Amino acid sequence: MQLVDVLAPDRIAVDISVSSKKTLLEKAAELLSTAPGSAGSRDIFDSLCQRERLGSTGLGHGVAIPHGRVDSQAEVSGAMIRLKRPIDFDAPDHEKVDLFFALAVPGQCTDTHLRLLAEMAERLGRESQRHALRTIDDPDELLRLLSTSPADAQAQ
Amino acid sequence: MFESEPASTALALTAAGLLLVLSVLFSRPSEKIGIPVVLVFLLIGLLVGPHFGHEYIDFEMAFRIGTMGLVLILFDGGLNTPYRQVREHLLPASLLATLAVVGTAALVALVAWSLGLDWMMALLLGAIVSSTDAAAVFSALRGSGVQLSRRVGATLELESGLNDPMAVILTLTLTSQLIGDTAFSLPNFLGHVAMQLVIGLGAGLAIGWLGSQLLGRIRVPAAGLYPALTLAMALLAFGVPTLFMGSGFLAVYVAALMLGNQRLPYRSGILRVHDALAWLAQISMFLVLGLLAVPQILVSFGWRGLVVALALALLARPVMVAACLLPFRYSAKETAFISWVGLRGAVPILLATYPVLAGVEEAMTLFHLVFFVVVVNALIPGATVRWAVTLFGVERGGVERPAPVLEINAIDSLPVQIISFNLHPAALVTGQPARMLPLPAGADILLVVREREALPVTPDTVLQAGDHVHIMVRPEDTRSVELMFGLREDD
Repeated sequence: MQLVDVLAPDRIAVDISVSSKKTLLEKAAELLSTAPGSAGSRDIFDSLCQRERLGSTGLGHGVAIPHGRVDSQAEVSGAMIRLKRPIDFDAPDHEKVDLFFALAVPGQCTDTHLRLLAEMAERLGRESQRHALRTIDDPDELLRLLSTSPADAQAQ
Repeated sequence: MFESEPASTALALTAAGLLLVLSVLFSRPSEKIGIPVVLVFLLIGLLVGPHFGHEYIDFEMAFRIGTMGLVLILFDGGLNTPYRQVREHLLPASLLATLAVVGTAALVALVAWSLGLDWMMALLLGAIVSSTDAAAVFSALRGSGVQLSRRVGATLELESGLNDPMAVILTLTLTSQLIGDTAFSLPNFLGHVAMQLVIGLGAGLAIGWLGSQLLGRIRVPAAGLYPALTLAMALLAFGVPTLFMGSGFLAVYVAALMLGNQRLPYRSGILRVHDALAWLAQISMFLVLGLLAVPQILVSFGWRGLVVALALALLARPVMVAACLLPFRYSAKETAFISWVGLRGAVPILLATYPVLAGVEEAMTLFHLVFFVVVVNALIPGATVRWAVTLFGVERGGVERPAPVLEINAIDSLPVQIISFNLHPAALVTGQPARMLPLPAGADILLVVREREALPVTPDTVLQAGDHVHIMVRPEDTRSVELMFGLREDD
């Protein structure tokens, strides 16, 4: 399973504004709950908060992958949020974060979901990917970028 | 019959040994009832003092033991503070350690002055009691099973490492003004403080850097020689800048910070030795200071001591903490908790010996007043800290009692580290078979500790909530492992 398989154009929000970590997670939960087979946004929000309490999901370089396990979630769903103004997300490098990939994972999580998380972390670790994700505005275009392997994008 | 050597040394060592045994044994009951364990040491000293302590201990000796003790405690504190914590909390902690120290001193002085103390003496009193002791907070929390939220804990810890030098500088400067011929002048005073800080910081950075270079390069034949070397660095870091009008205590802390964040050969051994030295220092400082005090004088302070002590806890500390944390994103509850647990430790009592030694008039009065303030300000917050954690909601969720930590114990440092997690149901790996995890190349699970058992990791070991998982990983890959496993329990 790839990142592009769990995203959809209507769950990509580009250049929106939120004021805090909490409102960001609320927005993410709202987007995630629109996916087919998804739990309600309240449950998703709670699970995202619970995971953040274990330690920030910020990766550094202005990127974060908030995720949560939701019991009533039938299938994994993803959402992407890009902020107009980065917010404080307690990231390890202390930089503010503007690029978010959120995941709602079924309570019965499997190695497929872990691989998805690892793949996202891998991809977002690349400067070229981050740059592209910050400059492209069209959701379909963004999805196309995410469907290519990060190594190919590097070569371009 | 005990006049001649070796009998008199033997007697002194026997007494010291007995006192140490008593102190260590009493640490357990005090932990149960939530009194900072150091107060027990103080009490033992106080009880034993009038009987035979005063013959052996004078202020000069107490000063030396106290200085040495504080050097060891600050060095240990610095060694165990990760840069991550410094980066995240440096600004609020330095404001607390400078502005709040000065402000607290001033407010306490105001109260003491209104009680009839001469204003220079009141200022001196304020300066002496202005620094906090985070170790006392943690020792009061230990054993209760309650864990402090990381952010609040880290702020308190860093504050207490940084504010001791400031309190020392203030006290020394005020003392020298009191006995000197020159009248007090603010520009002079500020210049002196700035010079102490700058020289101390510079010397700390220099010695920390030189020490890291030295430890990284040399190979000595016995593992026990490494802690001897780090101890030498602690002594140098204090001694050298102090001789050149710098703050030795700041230098010790800064040098230890640099060394502790370095890849040290035989790291765990070094840390353990310094941990033991810091405990020994805590016990000795409080015992000796207890031995020095005269219970009758203490009692004679009664209400005046109590008023100053309460003014510190209920007025000076809360006002200054609230003012200093205002620019940062601390919630009202976090701020309230940080103000409440401004525990005072050995440093104020050590500082109170400065004026006595310098021959300041009325210094003995000051010493006992300080003693009183410290006891009240360790007892009240110390006994209530567990309750305060719950009341102010600054608990860290989901953490069990920590499992034994795995460490790499090699003289040559290896390019991997071992990190540990306590699995929470919300972490993605919980419930997964260990061998299916997409760990980064070169990373692997070394050990899973469940309840009190160590499990070998077989292809069908399934990770469960509550497990303590120890993972070998290259430093650059820790972030992706943290993303899957959640809460680190080793930092």
